[in-house]
Amino acid sequence: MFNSGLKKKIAELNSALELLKERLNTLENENNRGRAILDSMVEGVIVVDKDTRVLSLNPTAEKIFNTTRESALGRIFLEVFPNNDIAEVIALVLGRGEFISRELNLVWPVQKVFQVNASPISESGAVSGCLLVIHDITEIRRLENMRRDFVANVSHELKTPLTSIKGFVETLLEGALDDKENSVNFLKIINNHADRLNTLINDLLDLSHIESKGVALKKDKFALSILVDEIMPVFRSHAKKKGIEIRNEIPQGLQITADRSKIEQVLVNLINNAIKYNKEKGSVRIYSEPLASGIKVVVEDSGAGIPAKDIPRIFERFYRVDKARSRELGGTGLGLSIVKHIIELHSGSVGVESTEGLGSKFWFTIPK
Amino acid sequence: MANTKKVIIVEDDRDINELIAYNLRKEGFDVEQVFDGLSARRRLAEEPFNIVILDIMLPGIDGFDICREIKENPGQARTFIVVVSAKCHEQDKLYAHLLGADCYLTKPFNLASLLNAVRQISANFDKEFLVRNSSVRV
Repeated sequence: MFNSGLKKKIAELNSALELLKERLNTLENENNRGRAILDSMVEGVIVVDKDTRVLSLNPTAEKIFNTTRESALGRIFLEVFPNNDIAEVIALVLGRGEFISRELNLVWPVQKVFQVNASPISESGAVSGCLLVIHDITEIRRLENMRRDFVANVSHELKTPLTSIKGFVETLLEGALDDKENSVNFLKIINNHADRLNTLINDLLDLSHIESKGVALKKDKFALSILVDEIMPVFRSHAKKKGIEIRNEIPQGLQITADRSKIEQVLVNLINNAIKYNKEKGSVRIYSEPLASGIKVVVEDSGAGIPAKDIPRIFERFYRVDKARSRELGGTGLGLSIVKHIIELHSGSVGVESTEGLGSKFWFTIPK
Repeated sequence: MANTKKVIIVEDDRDINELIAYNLRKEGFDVEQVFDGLSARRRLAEEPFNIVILDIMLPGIDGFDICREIKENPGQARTFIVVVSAKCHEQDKLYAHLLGADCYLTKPFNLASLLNAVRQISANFDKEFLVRNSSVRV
């Protein structure tokens, strides 16, 4: 009697234990699933209690603030993340019990732009903590700024020649047509600026074509020296006017695998610059150096050189060492940027070495 | 009354500078041309001008700085500033006005608008001159 009662109890207890185990398993699974979701989120997630003690944070948050779970858990938020802007958001959420979303420009402890979404956590009607979801939008903002700067630059570059064209046409219409001494000169200026607009638009189209991700390279094996010889006639009259000697020192047999027409554009831009910014009776050398990984091609001039401070920015769009000089020489400020993009499409790199007063060496590499 | 007022053109684009100079000379103004911020600062410190035609994006010192310096100099208190710039945002115009620019034209500008502005400023100078002289007589 006693035995059977005990057996029954034990059986009941056993099944209850099984149930409990199952529940625990389910809970643990859910917990793990939650953890996995948090761990894989690209946003930083931080949970704090009503005293702003850190209850939880995911790996992205660790990475953003350069901290670890172990050192952060249980400590006051400001101790772990010394930033008042976020602490203020938390205080507002804890105080008001309302969701807050803010864009914060942080300088310390990291220089970044964050979109911070903060929600209150409520337990039986009272705010017991705050959940922070932090989205790093630094790169998005940087790209937006770049695009804005680019549009501002383009519109400035377009408006300058337009101002001259419109102004001189108006001047001619206002009576300068009868000014025999100046009118032909004004028409020449108008013509120059129309050409400049055309070159600028072509360069912009080239750049946008090269930058669009889908551009396909038509790679071929060809002799570099022959390509250089082929483009020489383009420069002959300009070089002759300045008394500049151009030497093609690329070895006859040297072959590279690349998009021929694109490499032609690179060489045209570099040789054109080497002539434009050269001194009278200077020289331009085009030569190559073998590399373990491929080939390095150098275009060397004997011009004024580039000041050290300008070198890091020289391949940027619209960056010019001497704006007035570049405009006078018909530059769009996009030539080197086009060169850089084409070479990067070929997985090569570009660079420049220059000594003021002695000249510059612009180089690019093409991998095997 | 003949226009013998002194105008300085501060514009780094040679053609635009030449364009403005040609037209103002035709109107009878005494025109001087400079092509960068530093030369503008130097010339403006050396002698007063009646009118400054000022570009904003200049090599060296930009037009906003030149504008401020003119207005801070008591000797240039009567100098009129006409800004001619490709910067077309409202905030740039506002900024220029806060710094003391009297007129703001965006590029590409209408030649007629520029000439009108300069003519009006010039007429204003003449009026002030007459008023001042008549009060002396009284």
